[in-house]
Amino acid sequence: MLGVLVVISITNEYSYRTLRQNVIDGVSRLDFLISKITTNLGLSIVSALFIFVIGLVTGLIYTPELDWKYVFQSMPFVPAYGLQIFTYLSFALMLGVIIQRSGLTILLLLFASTIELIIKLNLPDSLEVIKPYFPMDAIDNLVPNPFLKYVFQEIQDYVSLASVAIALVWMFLFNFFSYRRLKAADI
Amino acid sequence: METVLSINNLTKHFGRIKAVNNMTLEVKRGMVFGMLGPNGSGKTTTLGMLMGVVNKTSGSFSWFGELPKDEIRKKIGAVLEHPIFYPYLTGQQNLELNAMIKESTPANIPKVLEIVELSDRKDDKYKTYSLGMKQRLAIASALLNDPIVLILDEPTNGLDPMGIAEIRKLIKKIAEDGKTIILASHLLDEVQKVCSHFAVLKKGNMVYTGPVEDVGKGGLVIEVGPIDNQLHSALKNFHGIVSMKDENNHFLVTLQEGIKSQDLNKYLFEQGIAASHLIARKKTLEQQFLEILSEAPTS
Repeated sequence: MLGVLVVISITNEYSYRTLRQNVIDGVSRLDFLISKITTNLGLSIVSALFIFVIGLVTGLIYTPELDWKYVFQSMPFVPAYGLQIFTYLSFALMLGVIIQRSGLTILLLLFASTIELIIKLNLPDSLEVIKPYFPMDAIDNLVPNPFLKYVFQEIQDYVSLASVAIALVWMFLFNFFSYRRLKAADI
Repeated sequence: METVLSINNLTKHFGRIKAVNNMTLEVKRGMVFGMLGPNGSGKTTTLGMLMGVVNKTSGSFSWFGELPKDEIRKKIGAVLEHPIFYPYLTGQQNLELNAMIKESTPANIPKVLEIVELSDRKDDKYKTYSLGMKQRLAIASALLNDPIVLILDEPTNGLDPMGIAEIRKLIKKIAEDGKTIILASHLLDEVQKVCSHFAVLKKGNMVYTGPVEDVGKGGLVIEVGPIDNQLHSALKNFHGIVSMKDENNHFLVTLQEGIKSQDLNKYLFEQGIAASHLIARKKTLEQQFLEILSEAPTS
């Protein structure tokens, strides 16, 4: 949902040509991108806080025993979730900057995981090792889907540092590509 | 005079199309500079490069003697092509936003709205504006930061005759304040009326540049009629003649510089001919423009 919002916010700047006018008025392209990235960051922080509050409330309702030590037990998941959202929004922003058309960008964003899955399925066995490094996977691995918990009664209950590192690299790359693209474009 | 803008061998290619080719140009402070050229001759591309929205292929340009920086554009008011604003904001909100970008005070907003006569519509959404109002809002936004240089690209496009006259008046008024104006247009009449200097572009090449006053220099062109043999031979023997050709019901005579229509009339009278038709044609920018374009080599 947030991804679609970001895509519309960036592609509208292209289709209404307000980006062009803003640059004419004296905004540098970097300033413009920074303003969009800052918005992404804000959205991510708000989402993370939201999850935190929901966690607190549901925890309060369902806990068998109220103790501060349980309240902050799985705290690292909150910033990890924030990073997950921010990386995803950076990806959405990059797609928007590159494609510039809202419809196509939203479609591509929604099917990104599917497309990645298809690529992964067709990957030769020798390249098996790079699978966890694919962008969508990297984003998902930050906070793994807890659905398996109910199947296997077991789950990764910590945030792995490796997955944080991979996501950070992708996050940086997405925003860097956006910048490169915006810098070189005639708008 | 202080140089406001200097362009040096500026070039832009779109694929194999040369949109702007090796343009070199200088604009001094206080000039009202007209850029003329048919559609697709590179006017907007040039202005786009000057305003940082189109990346140049090669060459350089400088504003106020400095290399282009983002900050410099805040001192320039520009309207390129059609006006661009956020459609879901009101005129007032759009101007507030622009004032923020240009780091100018919002206190200027009522003033510029007054200049373009949009004060009573300022709280309506931009998308409800007519084309002329959008155009005027764009000019208001360009004037917002009290710019040293004003760039206008087809400012009277789509306006009614009254609107055109108003904008023309506005441009003249702004020019009298000592501001430099760069005006791109294909309305020659407009350029002749408001500009002090002009350049002509053709397919990305600059084929002419000079002051507007120079238009109309050179020999006088006179219509003489009606066509008959006696007049023909008399004209042929006139000492001040450069060329002569038939056109409709009269001869079109080009005279040497310094020779006036009275001289020709007097000569004809002495020859015992009374011409029934004798009109001096004033050379307009339009004729000059067409001449320049047809003379220019097509590359």
